[in-house]
Amino acid sequence: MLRLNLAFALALIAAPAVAAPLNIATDATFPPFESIDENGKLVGYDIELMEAICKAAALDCNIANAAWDGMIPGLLDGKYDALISQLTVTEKRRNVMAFSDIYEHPVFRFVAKKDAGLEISPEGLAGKTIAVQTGTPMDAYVTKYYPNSTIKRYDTGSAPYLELTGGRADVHISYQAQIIQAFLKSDSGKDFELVGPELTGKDAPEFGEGVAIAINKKNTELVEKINGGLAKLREDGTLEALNQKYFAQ
Amino acid sequence: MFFNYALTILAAGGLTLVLAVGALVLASIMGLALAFAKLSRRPWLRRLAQAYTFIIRGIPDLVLILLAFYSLPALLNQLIAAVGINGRVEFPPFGAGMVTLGVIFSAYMTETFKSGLMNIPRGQLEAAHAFGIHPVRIFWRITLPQLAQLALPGFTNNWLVLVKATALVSLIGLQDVMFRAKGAAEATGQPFTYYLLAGGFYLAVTLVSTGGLMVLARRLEKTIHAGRT
Repeated sequence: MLRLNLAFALALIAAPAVAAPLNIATDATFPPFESIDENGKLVGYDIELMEAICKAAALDCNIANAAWDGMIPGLLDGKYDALISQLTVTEKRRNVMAFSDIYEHPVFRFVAKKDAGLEISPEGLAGKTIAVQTGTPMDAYVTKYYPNSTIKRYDTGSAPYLELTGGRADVHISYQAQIIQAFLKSDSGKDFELVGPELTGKDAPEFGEGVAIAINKKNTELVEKINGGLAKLREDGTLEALNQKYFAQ
Repeated sequence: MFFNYALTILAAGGLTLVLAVGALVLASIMGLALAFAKLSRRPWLRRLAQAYTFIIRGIPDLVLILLAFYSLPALLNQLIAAVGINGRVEFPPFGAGMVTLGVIFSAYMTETFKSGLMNIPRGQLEAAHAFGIHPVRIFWRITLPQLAQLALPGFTNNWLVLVKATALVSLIGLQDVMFRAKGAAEATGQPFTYYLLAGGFYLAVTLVSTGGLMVLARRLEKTIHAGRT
């Protein structure tokens, strides 16, 4: 069951190179950015964008659903050529991987029960419970700026909403688009609302510079190709149309 | 919508089953070999088998799976690069998952088979040797049928735990029942619905296999008694 690419690599020296499709991974558990539809097909903003980039840059792409925990190790190890999964660009990540140009500046928001009367500030949320998805920019942000709050961390995007509706958390912070799509639009989210200011990378470095496609550091050629494709989509209005489709309120 | 998501989850059941059966075959073969090693007359072989089961049983399954999938190939690739060969070793999730589960459960199978082997009356084997029956024939005609009966309850137990342990491989990206259930749960925001469905799948598999193995146990009992009279 062990696939030895060694023999394959040796065979390539003799034979002319065959272009294999690029392996692009996403963690499809974050609607509306990436999720699976009823038929198991990948759908969402990032998926549509990646497909458009591949088309514009004439790249043969294979987008696969992967587990989040394995994506970054998989990229570093060469298992995947690129990752598109609402990855925020941070200094720390730049040290280990390359990024395409930033394609989106996400807005982060808190969400709480309507009329909860919470003041969104470190003092206002002192002693309150904040739910976040672990290992995200939101996690880094509240960990740093809300030391007097109880922070509960979950490894999925949906678990914090269960904590909110169950009354075990007072407030949750996530991508605004994800809160609207995955929670406020659903039945269980009807008693909840967005609270506090719209936060972006300008408010805190923890939110990163923006969202981009991660690429293996050694593959500078692919970075250029993806950026080329992205630039085309910006020019012909495809990117704007996608933003309208997913983020217009 | 529920129906279609449910179908994708259950369709992944095939993969989960193939994975479980593959791991079971591997675990059984390795377990049998290790059980013989543990009962061997050679002390070094006994100690080796002892150390193997001790280490494997002492490390959580999850840790072993992550080590096998991420750390081992990375280590091998570093070695390959260090020797200056241009190539890469990579384990596909299915293979890595199956081998790791096989290795983990081989340790449990070893114990099951060992106690089974110890309960086969020694006199029978001595008599067979005295008649000059070939050891391979002794194994097939005398040891294995009795071992099958003696080890079956423990074997059934291991199989049930193994089926449920396959859910761990969703963490290395294998699109099994658990992975699909998580995808559906996150896409719809209805975790209970889809995790319950996944739970129902595992329950159904364990129910069916418990029934099947009970029938097998009864049949084994009959054939062995029939052989004795």
